[in-house]
Amino acid sequence: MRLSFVPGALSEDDSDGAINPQWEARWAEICDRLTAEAEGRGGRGYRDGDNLTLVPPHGGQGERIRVQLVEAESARVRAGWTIDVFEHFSLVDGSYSPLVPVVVAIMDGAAQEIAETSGGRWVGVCHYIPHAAGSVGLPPELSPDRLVRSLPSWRSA
Amino acid sequence: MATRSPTHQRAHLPTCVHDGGVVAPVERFRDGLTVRTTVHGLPGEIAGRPDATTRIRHKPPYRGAACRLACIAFPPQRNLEYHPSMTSNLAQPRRPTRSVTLAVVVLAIVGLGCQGAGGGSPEEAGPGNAHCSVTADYPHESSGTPGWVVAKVRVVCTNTIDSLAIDAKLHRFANGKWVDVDVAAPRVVSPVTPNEKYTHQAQAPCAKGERGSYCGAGRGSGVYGGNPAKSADWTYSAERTVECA
Repeated sequence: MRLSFVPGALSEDDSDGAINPQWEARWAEICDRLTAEAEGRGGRGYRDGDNLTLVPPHGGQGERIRVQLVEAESARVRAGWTIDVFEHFSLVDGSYSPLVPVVVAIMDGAAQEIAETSGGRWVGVCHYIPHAAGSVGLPPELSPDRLVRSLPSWRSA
Repeated sequence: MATRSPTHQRAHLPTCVHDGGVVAPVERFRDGLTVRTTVHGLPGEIAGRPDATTRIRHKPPYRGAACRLACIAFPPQRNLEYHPSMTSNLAQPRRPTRSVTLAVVVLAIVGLGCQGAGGGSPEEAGPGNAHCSVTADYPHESSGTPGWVVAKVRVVCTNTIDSLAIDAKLHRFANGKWVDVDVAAPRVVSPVTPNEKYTHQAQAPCAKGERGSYCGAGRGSGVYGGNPAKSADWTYSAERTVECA
């Protein structure tokens, strides 16, 4: 059982991420799905074209999440102080689409913001989001000198 | 505060703006000896001091977490050079000047720009072996968010493997050499489904009307049956000139 990594054929994708009606429809589905996830936790979702804002439950519990359609298969997710990631989604369910799991993980309080320190000084920030299909950001075990802030779960409201 | 000498050059970094004004602005200076990063308006809760102004001095050799964060925390990096002795094992930006420039020279002769090797075939084909192919799309301006140049990397594996990490970076040809303008934090996937296309990307901002030559690069690493493996080198996309609208 051996594993090897090889260069694939040169990409011939020249679509430049154009958003055709198929991707538009998929984006609408994802917005509906994430809005339902927000509402299920007592929050709300507002869509304005390419932008979806997910508002945590009343009382300031949790973090507001902003999702912006960037292009076909890609969206930008922002939350808290440091989370600003490009996530991907596919046209069909069942394929690799971490966008929804990542946003749900943030709602569930799985996301961590990490401040790296050195000699007592703050040197930078990063984030770590474990989710069903893997993780995003810097695995925390590789950051021995750090301050970690876990984003609160929307369910704690 | 670092002493500035005539040899210091102010790196042309974009202002890092984050919701809430967390890390704006950022300045870096370089002279081959010192990189200083100044961050204003840090949130007190995370920095341990409200609205602190923090100055960080990195001295070569850049190692470990400080190196990684210099690379990850404030992307994109423009005109920032890295000491060859950087030893970060994660999101390690290597200095591209030698190998990539050499590649450019060689490939330019045959008209291929930064285009890397493509169409590789798996080695050691046999039952039970797994192969992952790494493809880098050529960069383009984001159609949905003008002002960003995006380079995507795709990895497809033939078998169910334990875990996969994808690295992606974006190169730009500037001042006669290829430089990293973004090195994305690695994407980790576990487990990995056969024949599923896993995507990662690097991106960098570009101003309206700005024109540049870019190429994307990707590589993978993973574990299969307890055995780790990784790409022998980066896989490069074709070079492409992007003019941001």
